Amino acid sequence: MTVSRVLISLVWLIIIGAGGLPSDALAQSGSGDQPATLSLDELTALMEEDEAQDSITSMTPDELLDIGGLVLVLGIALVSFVTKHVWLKYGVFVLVIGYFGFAKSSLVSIVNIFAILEGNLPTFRHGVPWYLLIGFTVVSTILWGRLYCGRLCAFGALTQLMDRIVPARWRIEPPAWFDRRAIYLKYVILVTVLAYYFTSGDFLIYRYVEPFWMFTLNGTTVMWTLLTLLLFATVFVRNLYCRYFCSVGAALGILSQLTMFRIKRWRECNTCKICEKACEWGAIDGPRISVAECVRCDDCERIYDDQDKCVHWIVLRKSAPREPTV
Amino acid sequence: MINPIVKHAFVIVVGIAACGLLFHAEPLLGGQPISQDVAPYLTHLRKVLPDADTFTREASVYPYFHAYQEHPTNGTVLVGVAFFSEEVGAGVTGYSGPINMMVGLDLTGSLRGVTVIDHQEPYGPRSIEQPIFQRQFIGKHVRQMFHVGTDIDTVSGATITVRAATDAIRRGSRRMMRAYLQSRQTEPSS
Repeated sequence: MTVSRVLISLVWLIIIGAGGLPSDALAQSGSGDQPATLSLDELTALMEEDEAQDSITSMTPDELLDIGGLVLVLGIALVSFVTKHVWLKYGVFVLVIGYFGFAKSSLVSIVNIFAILEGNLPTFRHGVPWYLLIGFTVVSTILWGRLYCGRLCAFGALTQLMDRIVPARWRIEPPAWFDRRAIYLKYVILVTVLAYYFTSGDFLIYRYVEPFWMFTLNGTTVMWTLLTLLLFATVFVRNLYCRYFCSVGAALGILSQLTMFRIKRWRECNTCKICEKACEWGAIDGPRISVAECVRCDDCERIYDDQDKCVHWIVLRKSAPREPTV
Repeated sequence: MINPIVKHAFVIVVGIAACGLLFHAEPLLGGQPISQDVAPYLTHLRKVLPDADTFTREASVYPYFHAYQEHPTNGTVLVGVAFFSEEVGAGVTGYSGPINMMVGLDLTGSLRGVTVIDHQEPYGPRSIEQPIFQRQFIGKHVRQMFHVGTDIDTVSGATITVRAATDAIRRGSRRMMRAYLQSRQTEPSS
């Protein structure tokens, strides 16, 4: 895959470049032979130094490394989405659990939605990784749908990995009538939490509506108890949290109504149920894929591409001798 | 085309956001009106300037605090200054909202203490609120660089929060010292 190779080598270039940067900022400050008392001129110079730090060119190796790492992970996730390679997808899950989960603890959170709705965007100078992640999430959602949920969210990756590991016979598939109603619970949660936050100003409510704090390994007994219950239930109902409870997923579900490049459907999808059965997310209902539920996991798209599985190709092949050229 | 329930959710979210912005324009958290009095801030002031006995509210370029020591022979001596980062034009927005710090400095420009007044950072309680974060600044001079990853420790998972708070402390301290020196020059008698 040349695209991926180019992408990865670009990111390495960035990282190596960052490591080799002459650290001007470091050299400046240490000089110890300054007069004991501060002068106005010196302070003016120090303040100008602060202003100069606002520019992106004054990034330190440390910050560039952060950004490089993020771009690398986003790039790999995007490559896995474009290539539809199944093992690469599971590789990405492990990667994001490690990177966005335990290393950075930067999952898109309801707190980000509070902040965005209030216009409290981070100071750009410190928040470049934040802008990259949120920007990627919004743009990819508008382009393809809830790619963030299916690929980058460390908790979603964890439950999808669980689904892969847990024996299929343990699985309890919620009945369709229940699923059809329960998927709207997340919107109710989103609206309730927003209403609560805007009336009380208590942002710490995030700890009880989402389990993303778990990667920091910092929680109260109540929080750990709730999390244990949730993970236990997830063993039986796959992607339980994402499908019914996630307020960030609900917000992205709203945004996903704008999705430009949707999954294509064949005429045969009206009757065939293979994809509907395969969908981990309950997003397929007959011929229709609900964009708000779909996280672009590629499972159905892999079936479409499989000429031995997808009814569309089988029908095409069988009818070919009778209608030689189309 | 658009799922009606999702559409309703969207309308409600926008509605709440609009109402929220109206009520929240003066944020409930960040916007306690700054009192001209010293009393409400005494706990913070004692923390950032532990050597001082009394405090007064001052205003030159920015509003700030003077800290005095009662000296047996010299009487009341000015020993330090303290400020809110937001009041000296060093306001920063962290991961999800404004962060307001209070910093105490001695008159040579060394930091005596740092504390958090306000923030909305989800991981704030385990980063900038921690004494282990705040203690790193004690004894630092405004000439030093205050750089997360170099002379200030990174807190995993709270990088943006820690960087923003550190920036507010460094910028604020430099602006504070400059304002203080300026005020000294305009009244050379003291």
